[in-house]
Amino acid sequence: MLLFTAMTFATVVTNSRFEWRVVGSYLFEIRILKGIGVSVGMTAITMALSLVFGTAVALMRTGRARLLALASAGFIWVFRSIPMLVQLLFWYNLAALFPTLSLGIPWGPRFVTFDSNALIGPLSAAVIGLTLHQTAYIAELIRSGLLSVPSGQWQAAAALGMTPTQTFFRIVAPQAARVIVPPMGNEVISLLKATSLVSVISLSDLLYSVQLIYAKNFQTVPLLIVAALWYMTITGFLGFLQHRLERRLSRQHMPAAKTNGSSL
Amino acid sequence: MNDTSHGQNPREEADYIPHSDLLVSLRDIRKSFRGTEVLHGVTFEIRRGETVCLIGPSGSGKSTLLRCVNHLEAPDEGLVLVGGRPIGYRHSGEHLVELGSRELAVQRASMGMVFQSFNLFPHLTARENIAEAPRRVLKLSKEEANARAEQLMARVGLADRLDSYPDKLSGGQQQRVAIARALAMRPEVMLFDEPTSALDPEMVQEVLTVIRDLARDGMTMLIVTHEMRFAMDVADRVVFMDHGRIVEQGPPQQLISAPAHERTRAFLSKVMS
Repeated sequence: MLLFTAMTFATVVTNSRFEWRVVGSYLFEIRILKGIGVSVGMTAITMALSLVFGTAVALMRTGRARLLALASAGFIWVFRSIPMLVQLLFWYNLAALFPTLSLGIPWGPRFVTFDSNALIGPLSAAVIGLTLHQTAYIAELIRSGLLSVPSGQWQAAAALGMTPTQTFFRIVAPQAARVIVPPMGNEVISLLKATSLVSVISLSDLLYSVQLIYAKNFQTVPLLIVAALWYMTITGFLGFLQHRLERRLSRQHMPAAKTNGSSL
Repeated sequence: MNDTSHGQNPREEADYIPHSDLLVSLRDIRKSFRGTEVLHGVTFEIRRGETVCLIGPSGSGKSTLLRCVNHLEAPDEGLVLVGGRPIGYRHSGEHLVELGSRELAVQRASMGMVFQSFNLFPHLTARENIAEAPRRVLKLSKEEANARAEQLMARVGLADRLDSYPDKLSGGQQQRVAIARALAMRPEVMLFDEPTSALDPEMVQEVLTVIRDLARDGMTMLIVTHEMRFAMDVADRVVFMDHGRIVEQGPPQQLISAPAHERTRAFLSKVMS
């Protein structure tokens, strides 16, 4: 196994067709760095939005209101079923379906009318598509976290006179977080990689920037390596953050870990 | 510190209030689960400072009745009054209107509850468990709430475990923290739902001792229990329930040594042997 790894490594390093020189010259190229900015920015915005919406959908799904629970189950089913790529293309081509979007009363007067193409550019199409998809996944994650907190916790807090909002933020959420954070880290990493799909709607993320460059100079493999190295770097950093957060949570909420720490 | 807070404590004055003073009143409570009625119109009352033990076979509706008092279960019919106020509702002219969660929370703050499975908050220390509700609900400062926690932990004999997390405490200790947590809200009435049923036998006494002290201090209490000896010892009145109805009630000596009903006799002979 070790030998195999060493052989692969040697082949990759010595094969001149990998063009490591080209890789080096493009690694910090301005277009590449801008592309990274777009990829990371999109990941951050999508993650923030889908955390908020995902929590709302999860609360609706676990709540007592039947209609809301049904609606959120439907939402999760729809947006988890449609592949991300299909969604991105769909939102990008929305203009074909509805050339204009307007606010007004159905069949009545319209107050404002927008040109769909102007309103939904590649960036908003990407954010909408990614967010809807991610919200559906995160809602399920948060739901499982909420269900991991025994109902006795809600009851004890209610009996003490705490409101449902206080109970959620002070009692339930901190306990659910312990269950949610590890898979959530994986979600962020998957999302970062999924943003590369937006290259199909010509949004200049990391992958599309790379594609634009190798379309002109035909250095396809070296430039794909540049992209791969950057995805690896960012994922490594995110993994590090995830590890730190998990450790902090376990120290805060798991007395066992706390005792171990102080006895060391 | 200890002295002043004791002086303000309403339950210290309970002994001077005549026992005819009604605190909790349940009127014709009915409750069904999935079409099966488990409470068939239960009516009874608790006077201020009184300790009432609710006994009966499992499935008789005792716990459901207890949970109706603070509206953890909403009765299908009937009304619970605590201090004259309808629980879960407010008067609107002739009618009663259901309360929102916020208003209901205010009512619940005046009732303490202790659960069979303790239900301490596992991510908080004993001190934080006790101080949380006084801080968030009563809006006490952190210092005031912590002082209350320290005083109550001393009262339940756990002054040295303030910084322990629940999973580092034995069952008996956890239940004592849970009692302290409920007392921190200075409740008018304490509700106990089988407080010793989940405990190992050697830990039952330490919890019962704390409850006995509360009874002696004049706390108004409704206790669902299987501990007959404890009920005889601590209760001013024992209520026997079976199949969702109160079969009979009376002073513990009378009810336990000379039950009037056959069902009470049958139940007692089973649990006393």
